[in-house]
Parts: sequence; structure tokens; C-alpha cells
Amino acid sequence: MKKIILVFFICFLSGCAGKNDLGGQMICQGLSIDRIDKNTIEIAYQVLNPSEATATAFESEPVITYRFPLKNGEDGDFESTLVLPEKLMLSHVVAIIVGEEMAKKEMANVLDKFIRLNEIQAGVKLYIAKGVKAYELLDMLTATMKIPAQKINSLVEAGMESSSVAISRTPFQAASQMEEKGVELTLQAITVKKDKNEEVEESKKSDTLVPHSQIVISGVAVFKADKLVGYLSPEDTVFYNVLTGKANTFRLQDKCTGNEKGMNQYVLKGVKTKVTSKIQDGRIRFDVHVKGNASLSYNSCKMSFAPKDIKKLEKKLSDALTTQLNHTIAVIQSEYKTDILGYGEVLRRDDKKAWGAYKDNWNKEFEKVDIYVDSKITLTGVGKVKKTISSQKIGERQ
Amino acid sequence: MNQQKIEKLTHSLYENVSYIKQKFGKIIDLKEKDFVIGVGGQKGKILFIEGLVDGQVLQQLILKPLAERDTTTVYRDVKDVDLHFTPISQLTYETEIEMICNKLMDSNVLLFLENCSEAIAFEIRNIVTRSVGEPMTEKVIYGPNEAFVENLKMNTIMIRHRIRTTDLQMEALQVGAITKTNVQMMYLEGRANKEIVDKVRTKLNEIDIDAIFDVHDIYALVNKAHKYSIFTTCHKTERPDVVASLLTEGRVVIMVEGSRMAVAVPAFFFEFFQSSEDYYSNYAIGSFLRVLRFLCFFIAILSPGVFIAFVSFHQDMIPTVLLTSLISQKSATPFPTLLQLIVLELTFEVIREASTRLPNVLGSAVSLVGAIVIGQTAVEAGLVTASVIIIVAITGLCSFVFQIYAFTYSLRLLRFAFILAGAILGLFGITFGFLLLIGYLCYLTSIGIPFMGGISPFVKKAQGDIFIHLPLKNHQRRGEDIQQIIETVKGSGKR
Repeated sequence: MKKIILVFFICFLSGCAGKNDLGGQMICQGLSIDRIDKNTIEIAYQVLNPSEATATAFESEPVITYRFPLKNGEDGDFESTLVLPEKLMLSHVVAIIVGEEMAKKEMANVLDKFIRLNEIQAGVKLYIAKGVKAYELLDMLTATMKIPAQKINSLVEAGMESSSVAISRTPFQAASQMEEKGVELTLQAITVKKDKNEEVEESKKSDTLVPHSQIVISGVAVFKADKLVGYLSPEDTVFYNVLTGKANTFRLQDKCTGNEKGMNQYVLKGVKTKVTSKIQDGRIRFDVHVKGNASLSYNSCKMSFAPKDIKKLEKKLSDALTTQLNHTIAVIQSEYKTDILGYGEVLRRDDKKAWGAYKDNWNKEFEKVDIYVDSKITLTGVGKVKKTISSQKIGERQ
Repeated sequence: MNQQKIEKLTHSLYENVSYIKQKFGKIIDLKEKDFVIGVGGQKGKILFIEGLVDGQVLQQLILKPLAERDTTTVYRDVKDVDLHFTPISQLTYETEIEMICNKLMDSNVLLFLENCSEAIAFEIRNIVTRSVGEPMTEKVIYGPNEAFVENLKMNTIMIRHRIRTTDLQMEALQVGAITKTNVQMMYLEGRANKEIVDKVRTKLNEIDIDAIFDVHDIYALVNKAHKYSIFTTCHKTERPDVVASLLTEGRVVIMVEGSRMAVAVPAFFFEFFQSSEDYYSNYAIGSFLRVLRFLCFFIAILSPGVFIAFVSFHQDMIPTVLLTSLISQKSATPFPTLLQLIVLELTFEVIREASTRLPNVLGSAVSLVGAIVIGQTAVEAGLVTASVIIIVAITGLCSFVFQIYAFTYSLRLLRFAFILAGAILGLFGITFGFLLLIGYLCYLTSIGIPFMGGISPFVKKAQGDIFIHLPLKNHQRRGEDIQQIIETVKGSGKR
């Protein structure tokens, strides 16, 4: 009996170590880090206001963003305890936004900080604030989603799903991209699109249904080692995704044949990319095979959809895709000179020996490699109607 | 066994009767009647306890013939009385004072004759019982709605109605030095395992106790190996149809005079998830309900514990939207979640207990008041959060789905254990507690047969009726699976 009582008390003594009852925490959803000047960085925590975040109607702001400017060497966590009324809880952070200035110089340090924090979950997304201060992105209240950090995530997800215009990276993925030799880091860039008429009066801002400034996704941030070197345009991002095999659905525009004005637009689905490498006459060569289905979504050309012509259309469409892909490859190879496509990895996989010779100087090699694109797109649909409704034809009838 | 000298009747009628009366001491319902019979006007006396014997039968079959005095016969012995004028078949001859007293208590009329050292005991029992009613705890929609009463004879008849075979064996014995309660052991010859029958018989005979009032007392004494068990490791039912089916499955049934419950052994853990309903309705719905009950078992024991573990230790695992809602609820009340949960669970238990004790009419009123008080006002007053109420309500509901009420008791206790485990050690505590529970269940036995039999040790043949319920096959013998389990696991239970 004594033993039982002893065990009972031991349970109570050892337990409750990590106990932390509900209440008394601030749920942090978004986090941004940015450099203000040489000596100061700024960390912003976007904290939920629980009673407002769950309320159905707006009464006060559902989130509060706390900003802490820190001199070099100062501890952000310590600073935050001086201001925040309750304990900060980082386990529910969904988005981490890194300022452009920091990304240009010290991305490795930033990543190290976030990977080390064991509170932060593995599914957190990492973004680069393009052209704006990082905290500004957390500062954009929108009507559709109450919490900006969540809004950014869903924006990127929707972009990835519907048109492959965005990429998604967690700190862990980013770190491994940065560490590995055959691939360079890319991160999704986010920016704020401000109304041209900047000087809208405060009072008028709430009078209109059109938001005056919005969060938009704007291409991919390209890194060389741990430094930001530039951005791909959103269009190039789509083809970057195709080249890396991440694109599933996207839109492709193609001009009409000959001198005819107008264009047609296709939606490509089920796109699969296969990359192989070989060494030919001492030159490294990559072959990119793209396969997929397409359906016509917009057409202003004079086109025949007869079975024999469909093959021609497919050929034309495939060529158009190849051209676009080649353009993107050119941008990456000549402008940024960094292997964000991860083709070094492909070479490593295919020919380990050869890779051994190139791996230490891969980016230099990558500039010179030949990349051949071969696209095979199957046309599966041309839409509900065969003929195009155009004013020209209606005019003819009259 | 008994070192005392056995007291026998003497030849003196006066001595005999006064000695017995003295033995009873102050008693008002022991009645006597003198009579004279036979050629020589032989004196005699009858003794009985008023109320225990059927007055009409006494009048018709004993007093009336005695009054119409037969003057032609010579009564030398009480056997002559039996031979000559009583049409009663249930009688015994007694010579020992002790036995005579017992017989008197057991609804017998005792007849003494002058110069006879023997007495006749006529059994003319006055059956005092209520009529057969509906089961109170084991309600079903389809299937018979008949329940045992507090009379052993009546209960036996109900089983006899359902099993008409000479294989049905019944053994009677008396238990209790003071109460001398009739206990009956039943089994089906050829179906019941001989070893188990012997074991139950031995255990019953070993019982040395002064008083027995319910069949549960008997079970507790039979299953002494696990007297501290929080699970009831036997079938305890008030339904004759259940008992009949348990008998055909080869179970040994124990019934006790004055108890409206029967106990059947051995029982298995998975059988507590069965309901007689499963067998009286479509197999598909039977299987569905079976799975549902297993699910409810886990919810009933784990959900408050898991809830407290999540909110106290693992907030990072709660989806953000839910967490914000939980925190905003929590900010309205000053009490820690653990306290809220325990207080509310206790309140729930109090309501449950109160409505059990109250008459049916008031019972529903209490539960209504309880529901309103707890559900509505407590949240509004900021005493507890709505989420805690939901947890308690779901847990409560889930613990009601089992047909065997005794099982619900175990769940109620386990729930509190898991709340503490979750509050002290978080999910680690829950996992640890659950492992302990599984180990404990595997350790339990029912009359030496492992309680977890069928699941562990695993018996393939029985799987059609454990987690799901498959339809009966044409050639299937009832209880084949149970017998298979018993055969398989017999060796593995040490106790």
C-alpha cells in the first residue's frame, strides 16, 4: 500500500512539467524579419485576437502586429516579453516573411534562426517581401480573409493550383536547397500592389468596394548561394515550374498563324516533365520532355478543328510551349547564372562520376550546358462550340 | 465438520415441540396446532411459520384431513400418516432438530406424533413474488421483453420454457450460515466445459459466509482471484433469453433466491460490446452497431483525458481556428480547464446517480434541470466553457450505449483515471495509461479463463462475432465460437 501511495505522489511530482493551460498565450500567425539599417533589424509578430478572430462580425481588428526594432545582438524574444501582455506562442505560425534587404545579404542566418526554433512547425511557408518592407505584408487587412498571414498562404496555394504561378517552400526545404550543391534556392516573392492614386484620403478609403492596395504574388525570388540575385517574372515562374516538374495546370497563350491578328489560349492539365542528362562530346546536355493535355479556352483566330487539323494544332501548341520554355531557360542561364532548376541534381543522379568533376563549380558549368526541350501536348478539347462568335461573322450575315 | 453433538428428536412430543420453540426464542409467527388421530387417540402437533406456507393448501390437505379424524388406523409412525391421508408429495422425514428448524424456515409444515422420534416435513410453499416484468437495464427494441423476478422457482421456469432438453442440468445448494440462501447452478450437459463446471461447483462449495443477498455476492466469492478488479468479469443479466443463449453457448449460470439477476461465466471482454439486439436484427445493422460501440468505448474513456492533454500540453497540435475559439472561450472563465472538467464530470455523475434513485417521474425532471443548469447557465455565468460541456456530454452519451450496465460502471471510473493521466503527463500519460489498461485487461480472468480471450489469445474462428457480427450460418452450432475460445485459452489462464 505504501508503494502505491508513493507511486501516486511520484506521478504528481514528475508531471505537469510542460503544463501550460489554455489562456495566457498569444497565438502568433505571421512573422516577418527585415533589415532597417546597418545596425537594426526588425521583427514583427502578427498575433491573433482570439475573441475577434472567431467573431462573425468585425468589431475590432482580428489581428495585432507587434514590431520590434532590434540593434545588432539584441534578443528579439527578450524584447517581446517587455511589450507583449501574454506569452508568445510560435507553434501556429503559418507564414514567415523575409525582407528583401535581408535576403540579399544574410539569408543563411535567417534560415538558421527559424530552423532552430523547435516551436515552429514544419509546414510553415517562407516568403520574400519584394519591393516592400516585410511587415507591410502583415499589415494588409482584407475583407475576404481576416488574417493576413493566412491570406498570403491561401493566395499562394490558389496560384499554385490554378495556374502554377507560385511555388511553396518551408524553411526546411529552403535550407536543404541552399545546402545542396546541385540546386539553388528559390522562394516565393510577395508584394503589395498599391493604388496608383496614392493620395486617397483616409476618410474615402472605406467608401469604395475596390481595395486600394492588395497583396499579390509576384514571381520567384532567385538566389545564388545564400544571396538574393533577382526575381523571375510571374510568366517565367509558370515555365520554371514546368521545367522543374512542379506544374500541373497552367495557361498558355499562342498567336495565330501567319499574320492574322489575335491569339488563342489553352489550359494545360496533367503536365508531366522528365529530365535526363548525358555527356556528349564533353558537353553536358539535358533533355527536357514535357507531356500533357490541353484544352482550348479562348480563341480569336480562324481555325479548323477537323481531325486532320487537330494534329497540326497540337504541333503548333507544342512548339509554342517549347519556345516559352527556352525563353525561360535563357533567362535563368544568362541573366541569373544560377541553377535554380536543380539540374545539377539530375546529373548527379544520372552520372555520379561526371558530377564529381563539376560539383564544386556547378553554377559556372550550368551557364554553358545545353538544355533541349521537347514538348508533346495532346489536345483533348476545343470547348463547347466549334465556331467562334465574332463581330465579323455577324456582320457578314447582315 | 460440526463438532457439536447432533440433537435428535426424542419420543416425547411435548419435549420435542417445546425444545424447538425454545430454539426459536421470541417469535410470533411460529404457529402450532394440536390434533388427535388414530385408534388410541394418539396426540400429534403440527408446526409451521405463518406466511411462509400456503394457507389454503394447509387447510385443504393437512388440517381438513386431520379434523376428519380417522379412528380405524393405528399410527405407530409418522410414515403411517403419510401413507394414510396426505396427498402431498413433497415431503421428507426428519429426525434432527437442526434440520427441522431449517425446514420450518424453508416453508415446510412439520408434523410430530407422540412416541415418534421422527417428523414429517411437508413443503407447501407460499410463493410471494411480483409478476414478470420488463427488463429495467437491458432494454431492446426487438426481442423478448421479459425479465427475471426475485423468485428462483419462477426464474427457473422462464429458462425451462426456452430450453427444453434433458441436458439442462441444475444443481442446488445453500449458501450463508445465517441466510441459508438457495443458490442454483445451471449448465448444459455436452456444451459446458467440464472443468469449468467443476471449478464453479468447487468454488461454490468453498464459500464460507454468513449472509448472501444477491447474485453479485456469489460472483465476488467465486472469482476471488480478481476481487479488486474494476471490470465485472462475468455476465450479469436480467434477461431469461440472454441466459438461455449463454447456456447454449456452454456457460455456467449461477442464480440466487431473491435476486433478479443471473450470473454466467466465463465472460469475455468483447461480449460487453454485444447486445441481444444484434442477434434479433439484420446482421448489417448489427455489425454497424458493434463497431459503433467499440468507438463509443474509446470516446467514453479517452475523450476527456485527451482533451485535457491537448489543451494543457499540446496546444501546437490543435488547429489554429479551434485553438483561437478555445482560448476566447477560456478567457471568459477563471478556472483551470482541469478543474472545470472534473467538476463537470462529477456533476454529471451526481445527476446520473440522483435520477437513478428518484422515482421515474422525478428522474426525468432531474435530468432536465441538470441539462439546463449545466448546459446553459454554467456557460453564461462563466463557470465553465462550452467545449468542456460538449466533451462531458459526448462522454456521457457514449457510456450509455452498452447493454450490460456493469460495464458502464468500469468506464465511469476509467474516465477519471485518464483525466488525471492526461492532466499530469499529457498524451504521454494517455498512451501510458492505455497500455496499462490493455495489460490489465489481459491479466484479468473469469473463472480462470482469460478475460480478453478471442482477441488475445487470438481465435480466428470467433472473429465473425467480435468486432463485427456476421449472419448465422445454417449448420452453425450456437456458441461454437465461444467454445472454441474456451478450448484455446483454457491453458493460458493461471488463476
